[in-house]
Amino acid sequence: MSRQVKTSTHIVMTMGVLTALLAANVRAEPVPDAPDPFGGDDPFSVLGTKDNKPTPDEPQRAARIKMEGSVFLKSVYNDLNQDSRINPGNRVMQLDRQRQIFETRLTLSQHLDEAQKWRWLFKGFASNASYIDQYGMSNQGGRVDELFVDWKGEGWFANLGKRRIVWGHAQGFNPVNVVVPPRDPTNPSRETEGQPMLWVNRTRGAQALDVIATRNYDRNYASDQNRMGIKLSHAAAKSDYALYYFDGARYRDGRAYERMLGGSFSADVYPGVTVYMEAAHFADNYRNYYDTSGASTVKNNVYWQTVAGSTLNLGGKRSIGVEYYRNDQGYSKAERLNYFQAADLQPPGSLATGIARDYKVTWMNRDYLLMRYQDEWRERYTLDVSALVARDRSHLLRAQGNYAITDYFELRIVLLRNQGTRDTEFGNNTVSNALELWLGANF
Amino acid sequence: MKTIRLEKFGAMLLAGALLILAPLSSYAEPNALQILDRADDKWDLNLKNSTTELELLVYRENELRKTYRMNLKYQDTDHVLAETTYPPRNEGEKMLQAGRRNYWLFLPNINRAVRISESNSLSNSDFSNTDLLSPRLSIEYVPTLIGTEKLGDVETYKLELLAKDESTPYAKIIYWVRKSDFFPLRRDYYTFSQQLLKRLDMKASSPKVSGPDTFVMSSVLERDKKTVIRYLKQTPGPGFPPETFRESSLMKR
Repeated sequence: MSRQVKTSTHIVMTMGVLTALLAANVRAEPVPDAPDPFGGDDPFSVLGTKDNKPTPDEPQRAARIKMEGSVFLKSVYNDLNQDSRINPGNRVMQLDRQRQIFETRLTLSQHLDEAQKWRWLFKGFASNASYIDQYGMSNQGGRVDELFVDWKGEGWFANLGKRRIVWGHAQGFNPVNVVVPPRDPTNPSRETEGQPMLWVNRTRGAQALDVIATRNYDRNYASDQNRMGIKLSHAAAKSDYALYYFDGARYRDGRAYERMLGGSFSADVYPGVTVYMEAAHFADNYRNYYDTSGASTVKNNVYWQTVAGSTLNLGGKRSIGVEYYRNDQGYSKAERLNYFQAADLQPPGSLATGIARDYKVTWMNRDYLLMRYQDEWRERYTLDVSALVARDRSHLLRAQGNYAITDYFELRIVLLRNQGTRDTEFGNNTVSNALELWLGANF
Repeated sequence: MKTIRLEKFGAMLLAGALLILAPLSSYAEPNALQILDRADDKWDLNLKNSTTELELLVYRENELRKTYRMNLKYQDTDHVLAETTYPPRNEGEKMLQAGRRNYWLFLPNINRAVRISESNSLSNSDFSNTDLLSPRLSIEYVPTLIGTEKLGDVETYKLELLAKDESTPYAKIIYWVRKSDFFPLRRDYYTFSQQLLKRLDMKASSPKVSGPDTFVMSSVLERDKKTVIRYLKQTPGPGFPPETFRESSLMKR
């Protein structure tokens, strides 16, 4: 190739590059659009013509007390299970078929300094009714759920006083949640009474350490022993993990406390899909087990409680969840049959000391499957349906519907249905069906 | 000899032309990424390290059905904490973005924080969590300038943003940016099946405001429904302590 040709080639190539550089900046002609799928209206027309923005509240001053509250009128209709071997003919527990309950909750809080490092909070609950919870304890008409002072600094947090705290990642059952467990796990709101505690937290980067010293903790809320817990957690980008330890002084009768060692994690495995696991190891087990003669024994061995589950978001607030719960403390099939046979022999009105106290939901089997569906539509209606199926094939169905009348008032309907044979857990629940009607006000 | 001179002259001429035209090409028109970044700056930088009070209004058939108010602590596009202050039924609910695609919801009545997806709806509105909490798009989308267009009587750049991978909430976003000042005006969001899903329109409520403070999201699926977000008040600040945006803090305050 001659030099002239080479030069010409270089020139042509260079001109090509130049042309490409310039062409990149030539505006593309607008392409005629298809009809606007949104109708082409002014999207801001919904706001109206005048600027009706509300005046935002003044920033909270340290002296201002913040108040939140709710009042509920609740009617409960129970279809009592006359065939329940725990409460045959309603002779052991003498439950009400119908109750009218008035409940109120009030929360007051206040920051004590301009920097909002110090705060106090009170949360109280009052009701015109008392009820027997799953531990056989009578819940009186009023209680202080929380009353504490807390402080937060850079990387530090401290709390002194009665407070609620939740441990664990699982969304149905929480084996590691032993510091302040719910009073009544069958109550889906899981609102619970706090425990007096000193809680110190140190957070550094992705790691956090919680140290808790608490008193008055016990399965039956009647102890005054010291307990202590440690939680070490690590939060990664799409997953997080935690390890737990909880132990304390012996019971007054000399039994060692059921020391708990546990772990949990949750992770986003795919957009909209969350998986979680939780496991707790308990050093002692003081539960009553029954032999063929109906005599109770305590087999004080270690046991595990484990949970694995997943939630799937289906768009909006529609989601489904499934959770498997393994409770090694639960009864085997033979132990469950022995228990019910022993229950057949209990005298009427013997709840306080009797075998009925050993009947606890999710303690009568070793395997459970929980399925849940939640949805919300038209900004007013919410639906929450769940099914809890035990290994013995009995099940508990629960459906809750909420209707927001206004921003302040709401109606709620809750349906409960326990089903199973006479040798099963939910087949022996003291209530076959229940209907709750709520009218509530939030302010 | 003449040939060599001609070569040298041609080469020098071309080099000169390149030197002159190359800078012109970069200053004459910004490229797609520059347009996207400057548009996102209008939204993102206005919020950076600030506390914003906002209201979220849900309309059906042009009737206001529901009002939420929130307090937004915004550090950057990956670290945001939104606390609901109204209505009383939802008061105290918190939504946290603790990093890229790391979203949490705190429910005060059960005192528990649960992991949620970025595609979750924000208070069941047309906005997903990521629409409100992560306004900057250049991290997850590759922009292309597909032309200019008049939106009403406003000259705009029209960008096509394609998702870098399938884990993003939308496969494609068409983005209209005002030419005069790079103000973001409209986004159309498409699913991975290339279906138009929803549209976001933005405006500033007054000339004093440099970035968008009023947002309207319209859904193709629910034609009678629109969700409006309006910033009511912004308080710039020096920043927030890092623990503000950690899941472990949700239960404490």
